[in-house]
Amino acid sequence: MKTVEATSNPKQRSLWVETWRRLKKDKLAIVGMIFILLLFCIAISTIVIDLVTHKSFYDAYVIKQNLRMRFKGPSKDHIFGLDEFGRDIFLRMLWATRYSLFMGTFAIAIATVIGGTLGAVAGYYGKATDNVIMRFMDILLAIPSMLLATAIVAALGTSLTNVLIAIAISYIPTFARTVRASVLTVKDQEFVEAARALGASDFRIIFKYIIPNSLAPLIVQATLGVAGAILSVAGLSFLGLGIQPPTPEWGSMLSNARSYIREGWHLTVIPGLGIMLTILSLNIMGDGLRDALDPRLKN
Amino acid sequence: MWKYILKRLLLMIPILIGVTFIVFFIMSLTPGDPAAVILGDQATAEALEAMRVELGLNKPLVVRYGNFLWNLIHGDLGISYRNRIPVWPQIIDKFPNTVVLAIAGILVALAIGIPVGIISAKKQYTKLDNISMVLSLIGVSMPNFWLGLLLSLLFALKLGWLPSQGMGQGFIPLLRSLVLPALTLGTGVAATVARMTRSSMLEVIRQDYISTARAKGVAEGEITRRHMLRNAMIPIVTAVGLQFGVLLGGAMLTETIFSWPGLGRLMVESINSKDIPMVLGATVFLAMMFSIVNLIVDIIYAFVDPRIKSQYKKANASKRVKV
Amino acid sequence: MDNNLLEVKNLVINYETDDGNVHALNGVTLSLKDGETLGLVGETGAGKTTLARGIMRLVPDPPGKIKSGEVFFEGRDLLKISAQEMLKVRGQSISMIFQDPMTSLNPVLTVGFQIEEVVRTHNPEMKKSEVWERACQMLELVGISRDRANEYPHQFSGGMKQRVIIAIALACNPKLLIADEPTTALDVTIQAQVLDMIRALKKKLNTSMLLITHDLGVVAQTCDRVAIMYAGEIVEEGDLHQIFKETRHPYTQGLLGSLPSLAVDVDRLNPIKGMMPDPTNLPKGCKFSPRCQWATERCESEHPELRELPGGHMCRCFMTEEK
Repeated sequence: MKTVEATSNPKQRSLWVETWRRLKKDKLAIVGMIFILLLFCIAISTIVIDLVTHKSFYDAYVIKQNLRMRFKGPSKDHIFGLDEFGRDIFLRMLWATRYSLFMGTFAIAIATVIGGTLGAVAGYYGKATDNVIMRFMDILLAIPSMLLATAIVAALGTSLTNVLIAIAISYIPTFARTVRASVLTVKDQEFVEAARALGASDFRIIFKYIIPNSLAPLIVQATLGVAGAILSVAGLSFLGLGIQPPTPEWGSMLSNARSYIREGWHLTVIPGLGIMLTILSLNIMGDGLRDALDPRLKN
Repeated sequence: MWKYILKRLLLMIPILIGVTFIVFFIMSLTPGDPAAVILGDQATAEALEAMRVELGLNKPLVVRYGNFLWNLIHGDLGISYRNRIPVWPQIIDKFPNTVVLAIAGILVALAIGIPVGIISAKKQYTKLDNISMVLSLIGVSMPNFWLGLLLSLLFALKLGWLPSQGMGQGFIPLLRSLVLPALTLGTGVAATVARMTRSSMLEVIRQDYISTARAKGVAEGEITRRHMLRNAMIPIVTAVGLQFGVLLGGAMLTETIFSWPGLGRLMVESINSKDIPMVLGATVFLAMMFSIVNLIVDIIYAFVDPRIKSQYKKANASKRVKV
Repeated sequence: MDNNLLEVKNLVINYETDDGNVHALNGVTLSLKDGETLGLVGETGAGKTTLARGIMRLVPDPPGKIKSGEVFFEGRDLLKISAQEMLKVRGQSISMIFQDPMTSLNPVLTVGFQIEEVVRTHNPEMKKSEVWERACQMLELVGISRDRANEYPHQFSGGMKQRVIIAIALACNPKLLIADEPTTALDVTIQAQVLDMIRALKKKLNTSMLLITHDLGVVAQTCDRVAIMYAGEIVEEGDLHQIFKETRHPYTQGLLGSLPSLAVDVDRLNPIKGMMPDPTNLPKGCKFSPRCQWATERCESEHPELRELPGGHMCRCFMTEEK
């Protein structure tokens, strides 16, 4: 006897194809995506260069100080100019990319997995489990996220890991809520009942049926979340709580620029522009994804 | 109505207790020895030990938390490690300055965001709509600390029109010193409010009851005011409440840049000097303020949306006879 | 035909969307006499609501555009008068009620206020107390106690909401009431009540009515004349006897034939085969020809005009020429 499986919602595969088709039409979203891809390439290239040259390039060009040339403005040799220690800002910007990008992405990835699982469990099992989990989320949400991240880093110390943890924790409640809302909608649909009637276990139902169909709002939320996380990383570094000098990071570069604000506009404008363009691209992507996933919401 | 308020108040209490516990727990994880921070490097081993006992650091976590909570209820948040002055009075001294800044920021956000959102929605698809939405997108993406530096650079340094540091004494100096920080804090929120207002308005514009109002021959201006706005504002009210939390968080950065003597700057200084009681006290305090603001927002929301109001008017239930 | 209250001539309305140009109305011509009830029948997508909105000049623009045609009401072409003038017409000379009573009332305003609004808009000199009195009278006219005037829409059932909407529509005693599927969203028992009430009020206030529906049963009970609409055109028009007993258009025949009979026992129902054409890509020639069992080559290439048959019976089909 052949075992028959309730098919996961047959609309699923064509949903992704449809979404991609709509997304392609949104030129702005495509520009955003290209920029982010570019940043990823930059980040990875810098890591590769470091590995290949055993950080000699880094030591020679990115953190080496050259005080005679400090504050020099943009020129042919140094297109973004030099900072307060005479270091090339362009190179520092490139090397700083990996921190913002990867920290933001990993923090959100962690938050998505933990928050998403919590939300899925809360939404699926309901009643007491739901109550307990969501009350806990409410408590976390009662603390403004920047405040929470700052407190965690303040307590645990300013290492990369701690910044990651801090930001991830501050985003967990949002993802828990999003996934829980999706799960509540999906679990009442008939194909789930059908699966249960065929004897599928809870675990199987959650992972094979409910989560794939709750992905859409989660993806949008995650993209926008990375934008916020990058902002938080920069903000923490700005306050001196994140990446420590001489490691280049956009936020700390801005923070240093504060003391030397009279010495040159390039110290202030360039790092901030980098942060802004990154966040802008992610926001555009997030908006584009939201419109592509459900055109009805587009108005 | 009062039932609703009471219910929300009661719900808030366990959450606040949870908040205090979480923050306390986080701060307790701080490595390092507070006794050493206070007494300095030169202290003897016995002095350090005595200080630890005085600070109650030898007791288990739960007991320390219990003490903390007990003291909190009595308005005692401990003593700052940095300057040996009680924490609570310091918070109370600096908090009003942050409130002034936060209110100014929200006013900027609402004054810019709501009209832009309404006009964009009514003129959807036109150039005006596209431009405002692009600007809003940029506003949302701009790090507020960068904006602060840019504004400082332009208006204070290059043009010299406005002060960039500190809080002015006296009415006019206060307003002048408030401009740049308020703009910094408010712009990001303004952009978010504009986007939310636009989408809420668009949602409302599509509704059938707007068609009904038009079919009655009511003029467009009145329809916007009476029918659209009153409905569109309902979700905005809650959203603005949440933005207030963003504001409180962002205040740390803004106050640092503009040397504004508020709670945010105090927080940053305390963090940098590892002043645990201060950080603990300030965080708990701000979290409480945030919860109270949300409660107020929920109450306003109930007033504005009659569907919520009548959920709590049990008296009418028996009178209603449905067809 | 000069005693016609309403005369629509060759009305063409398109919706210009990103996915193509939707030809919603393709030259609609119909007329309605004083005191008459004209039923407008058609499937979903035939263009009935677009026609109703077109008459009221409430077609959303963008994306809707009135391309050509005339709408004469009491001798004036409504499409040519100013927007200000049109505001005076709506709610006062022509009223419209929409399909879904659950969403047609503004949730944050009391029902009394919403009735008052239409009275006040068209009678600005009326005293406040008189306006309120009129609103309460209208409520009582539709069978709702005036004590409930200060309640909100969510406190009423679906049927009662629809009655409030009718009260609003008739408050200024309009000459023409356009009712867009007024009972579709209600249960069958409530349907009967609401229809009875509409009929009674119509008689009392001597209102003419354009009743849009897809339910032939409702038409038979309530209307004097019927117009059948298909793919944005009128394909047949006549009085009850002509339409039900002397059916000429194949589509109308199909509609009547597909009704299940209480008297006869059948194994299968008789739907009309095929589907209504895609409004962005309408067929050349007669728009019903792809589904018509009597279609000829001429039907597929040439577009039939609406011809008048004896007794004021109109039909858009080449088969009527053969006689």
